[in-house]
Amino acid sequence: MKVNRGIVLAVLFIFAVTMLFGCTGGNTPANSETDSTGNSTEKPKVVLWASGSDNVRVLFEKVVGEYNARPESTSVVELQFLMSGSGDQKLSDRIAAAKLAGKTNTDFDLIAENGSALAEYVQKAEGDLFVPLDFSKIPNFKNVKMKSGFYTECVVPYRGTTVIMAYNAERLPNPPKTWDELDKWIKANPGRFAYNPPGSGGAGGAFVNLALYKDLPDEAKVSTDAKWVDQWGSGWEWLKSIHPYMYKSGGKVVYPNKNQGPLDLLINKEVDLIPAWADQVLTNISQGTLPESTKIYQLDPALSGTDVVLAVPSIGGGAEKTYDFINYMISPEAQKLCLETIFAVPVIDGSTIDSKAKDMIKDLDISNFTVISNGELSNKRNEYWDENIATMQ
Amino acid sequence: MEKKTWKTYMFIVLMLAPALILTFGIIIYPIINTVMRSFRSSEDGSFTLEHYTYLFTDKMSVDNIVYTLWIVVITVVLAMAISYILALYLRFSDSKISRFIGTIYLLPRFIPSLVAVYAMITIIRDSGFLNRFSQLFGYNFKPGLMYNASGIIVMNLWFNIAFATMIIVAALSGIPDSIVESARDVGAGKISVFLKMILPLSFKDVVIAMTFVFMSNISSFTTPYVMGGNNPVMLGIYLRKQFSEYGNYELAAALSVVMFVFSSVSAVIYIYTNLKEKEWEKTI
Repeated sequence: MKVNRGIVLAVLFIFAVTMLFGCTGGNTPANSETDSTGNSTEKPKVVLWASGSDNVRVLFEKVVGEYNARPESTSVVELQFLMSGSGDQKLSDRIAAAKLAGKTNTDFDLIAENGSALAEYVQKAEGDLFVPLDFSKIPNFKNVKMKSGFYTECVVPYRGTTVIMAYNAERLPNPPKTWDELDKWIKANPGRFAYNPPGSGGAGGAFVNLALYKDLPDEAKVSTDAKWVDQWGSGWEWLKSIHPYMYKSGGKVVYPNKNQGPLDLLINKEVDLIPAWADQVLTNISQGTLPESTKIYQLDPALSGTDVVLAVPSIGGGAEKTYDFINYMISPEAQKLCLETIFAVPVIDGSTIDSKAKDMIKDLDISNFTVISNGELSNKRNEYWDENIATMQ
Repeated sequence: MEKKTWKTYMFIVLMLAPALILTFGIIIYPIINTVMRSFRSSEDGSFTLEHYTYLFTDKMSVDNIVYTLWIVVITVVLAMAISYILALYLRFSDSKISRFIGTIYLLPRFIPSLVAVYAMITIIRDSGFLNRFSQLFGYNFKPGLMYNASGIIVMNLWFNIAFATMIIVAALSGIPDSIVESARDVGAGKISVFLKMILPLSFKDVVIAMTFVFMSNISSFTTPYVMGGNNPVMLGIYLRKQFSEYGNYELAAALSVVMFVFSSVSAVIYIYTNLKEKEWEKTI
């Protein structure tokens, strides 16, 4: 009797296990079936990896949805999004780990990343990470006006983005335009300026970067050579000198975490001036969380920005199946989506895009932002900042 | 007989196999991996204790450890005190108010943590609800709770009081009214009933609640990340910095082990308390 019961249960167990694996196996044919109803040939799957703040996620969900819904698309794109500053392992680390482990057939088919961050990818993966693209297979590429600064033969820029200064025009009619004026303004108006810790988001990162690099030669800005770390001294001294005049809470200076931190302070009128990503500020204004009186401008020398590019890692499924989606991203319709969803600076001629949102970005001159690309030196920067500036009383 | 036993054992192993494989794959193997990595030099991979030495000698790191333990201990003590009083009230009062509180006190358990944190921020930040409310009366009250330990503790209490109260209420419900009444009959005062009967009878559950609150707070991330300051930081934040901001993977592994050990102390107390159960009941 006991044996019988045992057998019955064992059968049940095996049944359960097959069910479990059966489910995962059963999905694939179902998927291809739906594909084949829309299209006679089965479309290859392209896994797109992207990271950033939530607005970027919203953008990609829209663009990927639009793309997959078009009957003429020749592949199916699946989005893998990593929220920045959420404690997740960085995309660059994941790809480097896969490549260094000797894997060649991963699902890192296509990545969307800041042009200035690519050096970090290549450095971590120890070279030869991105495959050169065949631009003849991307017909829209001839319309792209923005030229990428790094790995030009391997990337297609699809938007520009930059850190700017955001302020409230009602409380601050004449914001400081240069770094000298900024220095005087911060010291004359204690507690009205804030930036986020450089490790917690790119806005604070760009502000600290410019403080460190604005007086250094241009070659330093795009070098991953550790010798430039020694040249950061005067920048650090300046950041230390403005520390006592930063935003205070509970009697102590604080640097709120993440790009959203200083934005929240601006929204709540606790500060008057912050460095922030242009797209985040414009999105907040259009949603009404920041008042209409919020204005943006660029400092001189300009805070850093970057082109955001699509690139194909050599350990993915090859460039061929990604061309159609890349081509779509730089088409006028996708560029319009980028502009209207996150106020991205278009990479193609603005006159080909029909949108009211163009007015909001007219002050953003994409040509004048500073490009800083220093690879893993940004880790050094974050560590120094945390040890020497966050600890100041 | 022999055959049957063998089959039964096989059967037990078979039934446990999925859980064991899962546990091994996603818990035990990563732990072993992390422990091994924490002893490896980041330069040449040789055996070293440098990461642990750094964690317990570097000023920033020691500050972070002390800060974390301080916040967690304050949280545990305050959460227990408040929960115990609340639980006593819920157990021994039978008014409308107590029944109402009894229905809603678990609500915080059902609110996603990030939502709760931001909700709290809109109230306690220097430009938040408290500040605006005070402005109605001509004051400019700035709570000063954001970006420091006080805010984190307030938020921790919000999360943990409901949980701790739930456990203590269950323990207090297990004390029959008849015991309390018979004690009162032979002349025991309220205070001596509490000290000699209620407290000893619920002590085990208080310890269990304490260990849970301790463990869930020592590794917390969301609350200190959004509400905490820049320095010192809680260990969860420090771990993230080491891992994804500085890229010091070996040091991050060592820090994980240290956090694991802190939690284990509490886990040992929990297991010990649970095993003691029978003896406890004997003494009553």
